[in-house]
Amino acid sequence: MILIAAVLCAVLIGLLRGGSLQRLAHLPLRWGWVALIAFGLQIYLIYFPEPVGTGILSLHVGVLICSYALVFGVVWQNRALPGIWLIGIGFLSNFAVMMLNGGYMPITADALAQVGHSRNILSPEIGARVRATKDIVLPRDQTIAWWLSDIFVLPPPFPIPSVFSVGDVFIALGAFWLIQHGMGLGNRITRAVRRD
Amino acid sequence: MTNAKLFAIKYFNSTTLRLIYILLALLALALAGGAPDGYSGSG
Repeated sequence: MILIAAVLCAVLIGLLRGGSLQRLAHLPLRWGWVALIAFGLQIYLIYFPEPVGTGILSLHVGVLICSYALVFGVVWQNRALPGIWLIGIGFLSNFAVMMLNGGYMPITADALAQVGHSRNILSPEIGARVRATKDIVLPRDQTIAWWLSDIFVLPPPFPIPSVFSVGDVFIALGAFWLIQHGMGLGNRITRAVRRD
Repeated sequence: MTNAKLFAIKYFNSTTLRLIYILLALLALALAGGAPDGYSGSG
């Protein structure tokens, strides 16, 4: 939800800054349909979580790896667009920590409790899946590269309580930059940077 | 009926469809690469 909000905020801020939806419609995004397929594959993973402990060679993790390969393809095809490299760094960061921890994004039970999502943990074991996510519950001391996992907590009263990773931050920033550029505001940003 | 037709002509053109496609593709790209703790309204 936090990434959906980031994309929608980017469009809204773009409109408030005088950007154009018509220009955004003509953003030369290549392989957009591949991104839709990649997310479609992940819907299966997110909404039909498998039992705990099947490891990195399971069907679910295979689907995840395929979807990430498609996502990397989209990033590569659009590498000339502003902001895409930030999105690519975010993907790499998330992908790395997930592969290092059995194929899923580690999150601590404490972080889930802080945002009131403990009810979504599917079982009491360490490594349990979390409903409607790519997450597994792992204690901090059992998480490899913990600093790349879901560590940032936006607790209530924030309107969208959420836990997210440094990779998600990069993706949100990259999407923001890309959308601002697509709405015709990219040159203004570049000019402002040059003036400074 | 005429109003509906005018509305459709005004808003459901190729630019609108392309905008919807671009927004959906960007959302899919962000969601497929991202890993926050929720994709539905719960997170």
